[in-house]
Amino acid sequence: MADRKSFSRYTMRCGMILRSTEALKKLDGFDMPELDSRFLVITASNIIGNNEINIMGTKMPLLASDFIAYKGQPLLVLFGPDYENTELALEKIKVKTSPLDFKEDTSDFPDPLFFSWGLDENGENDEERQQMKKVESSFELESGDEESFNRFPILSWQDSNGMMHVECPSQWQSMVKACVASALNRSQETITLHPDKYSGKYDEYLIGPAMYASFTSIATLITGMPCEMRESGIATRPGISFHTVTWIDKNGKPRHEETTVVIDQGYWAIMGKEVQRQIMVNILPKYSLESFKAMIRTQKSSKRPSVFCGSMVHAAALSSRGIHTSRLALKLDLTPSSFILDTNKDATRFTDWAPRHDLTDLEEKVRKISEESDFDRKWSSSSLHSGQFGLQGYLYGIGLSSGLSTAGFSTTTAKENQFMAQLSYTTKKNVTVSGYFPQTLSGDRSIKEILGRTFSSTDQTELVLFIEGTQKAPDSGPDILSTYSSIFLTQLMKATMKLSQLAKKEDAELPITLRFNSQNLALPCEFEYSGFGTAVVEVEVPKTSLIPEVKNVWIDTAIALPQVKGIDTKIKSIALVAFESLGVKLANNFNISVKYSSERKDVGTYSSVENLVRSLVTSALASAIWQATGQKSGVKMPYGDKAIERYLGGDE
Amino acid sequence: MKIDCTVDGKTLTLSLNSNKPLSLILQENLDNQSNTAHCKGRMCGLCAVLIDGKAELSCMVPAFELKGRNIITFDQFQKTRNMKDIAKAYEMTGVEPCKDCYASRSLIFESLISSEETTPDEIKRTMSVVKCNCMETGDEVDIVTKALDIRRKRNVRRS
Repeated sequence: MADRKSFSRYTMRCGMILRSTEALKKLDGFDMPELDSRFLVITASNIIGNNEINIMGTKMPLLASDFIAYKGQPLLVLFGPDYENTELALEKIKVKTSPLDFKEDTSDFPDPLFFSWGLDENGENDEERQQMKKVESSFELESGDEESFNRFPILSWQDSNGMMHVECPSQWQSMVKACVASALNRSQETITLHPDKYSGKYDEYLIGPAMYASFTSIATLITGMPCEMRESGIATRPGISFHTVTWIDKNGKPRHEETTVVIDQGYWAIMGKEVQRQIMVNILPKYSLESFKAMIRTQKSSKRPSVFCGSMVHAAALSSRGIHTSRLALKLDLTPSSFILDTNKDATRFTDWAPRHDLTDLEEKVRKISEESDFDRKWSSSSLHSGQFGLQGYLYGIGLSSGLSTAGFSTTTAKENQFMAQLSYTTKKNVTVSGYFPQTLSGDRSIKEILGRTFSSTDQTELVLFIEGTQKAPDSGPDILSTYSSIFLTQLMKATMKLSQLAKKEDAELPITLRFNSQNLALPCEFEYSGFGTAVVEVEVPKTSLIPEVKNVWIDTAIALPQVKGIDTKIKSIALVAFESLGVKLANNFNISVKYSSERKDVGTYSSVENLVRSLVTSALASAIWQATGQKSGVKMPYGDKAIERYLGGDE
Repeated sequence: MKIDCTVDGKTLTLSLNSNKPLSLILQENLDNQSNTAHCKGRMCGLCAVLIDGKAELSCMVPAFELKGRNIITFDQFQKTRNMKDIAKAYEMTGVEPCKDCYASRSLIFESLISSEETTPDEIKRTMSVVKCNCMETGDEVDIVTKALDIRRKRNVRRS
């Protein structure tokens, strides 16, 4: 049975999941039809080992046992001779539920995260603030599910030695193994993983394979036959709402600011603390302030748990910052780019969140975009339209957003998970890198470039690199990889320099090994502002459909990336995907124009282009719709016709 | 019901539910590696196959319509010279579909190229079935035009 190729589809079992159609109910049991011996039912009660999946410390049940937490939760898995018969049998199973006396228990949720500076004894600077202008902005991103168009197969089989083989697409291989081992109550050594290429858009797709692999492995162990499932990846976006207030003095300088963020991660807050920290880093103002106060709170809801979603949280926080910057710029009659340039002059240490952050390079980028791009005209048209009279027709808006992107890696996560890497200079004068870094990064040219550059300067005739990724890759998905790689490469550079110096010594005893970690105890999160971009979005809301239509988009970015081939197409694609997920339509004569300035001089601090572009278009779109619908303060996304009607009716 | 058809050059007799869509037959019964799309009616356009040389969305073709038809999936098509023409056109234009829609788009391109379709509007209309946003319509027209040139030159050399 060990040979994967010897399987016949006639000797396999095919599994399908029964999911709940309601949330917060007591699960009383199932009305089962008569099933012959070809079928196998797996419920929470007959899972051999533990009925739980552990995602970076947060535990969730694989199958609902006594109560249903959210709509779409897996309740039961049915394996049958083929998919057609399994589906027919699954339709006959009825779920018995009863009302649940639900008491919200948030003990497993993280405490609110606070950060402040410059506040007086009472915590507020009331008297001073009363004499200042107040600029307020609200931005809400509703949570939602997105199902992939593709289904990925997950297959398990057992060989004659009792070794369980699992074939599934995953980058998070250690989690798949741990989950299967826990569900089977076996050691991880008895499980062999055959990873398929992973191609999910979001981090959440990584959780699915681990859960499904547990189900197929249990079925394989019980039936002794290879078992397969084909499931789609489901990504759940966390709901986030931001409310920011800034007080501006007579000279137009921001003085005090307060931000409140509420996150809805669903019934389980997976990596809840990390989500809070990531948001905190990105909502910090990039301008000088006397006082600042931020509070981030996670609330529990009966929704599908949204998994870490680092990139989306990044982008949402950056968007809220972009929207608020636009509001401030509008109040001061400046473009957002000019506002950023203007306020950067007075930047103090408090606002330079990362103390080693150098603004010179960024200022160059901001100035370049500000001067080269013809966005000022669009902004002036936008400001005219938002004044007392409108040059454009009603239900039409132009939104402009400028913002810095962040690149970096949460060093707290690294600390909690002990992410380490090892660099060795062997007796054969080869350089070896091994450690906990993502598989996709192991083939990255940048690592080879860094090592090659340093060691080619020594008198070694030949340099052989062995780059070994381990199966314990800590990355959390495709989007966040770019941010992870940035800090990893910076630390690798430092370690390489040190290793090179040690190797050059005459009395050097080979092999030399250096271990370096990705953690930094000085800062909770280590992020760098390493890119800048501006986006303009032109929107019209047709009176017939009330669904906003995007007409024109201009994006200009200056960002360092390891590979710039096809970057224009990538930027366009990110923008289009963002529009799609925000519930707007593209107009028939839709046009998108992208400009990209490539700068590779700051290699090692690559930014995530996904986060920057997604946040820019989101905030520009929000500003455009805000203008088109004449809203007074808040914007809420994704948009639906009801929301537009509500806004038009003045009922916000 | 029993259905006789040819899939990737193999003549098969399949025993299936008559309304099972071709996309699921390929995935579940034939373990086709290139076709993984299952959009549940969201019209993603990622499950195209060539049926008698014409690109069709396999999720829209029920089993009973397959009798006697010749189906070519991307598994087979990627090994052909015709795919090399399209790959060359991707290289020349500098634009390539993403990995999600690579198979589907390539097959639809092939359908347009084999029917020598050069009208931009028709190309745009045909390609609009693919909902993936990785490629612009202008690029799609370029790819078809370039691939058609390559194909013609190859045919001239051969003759």
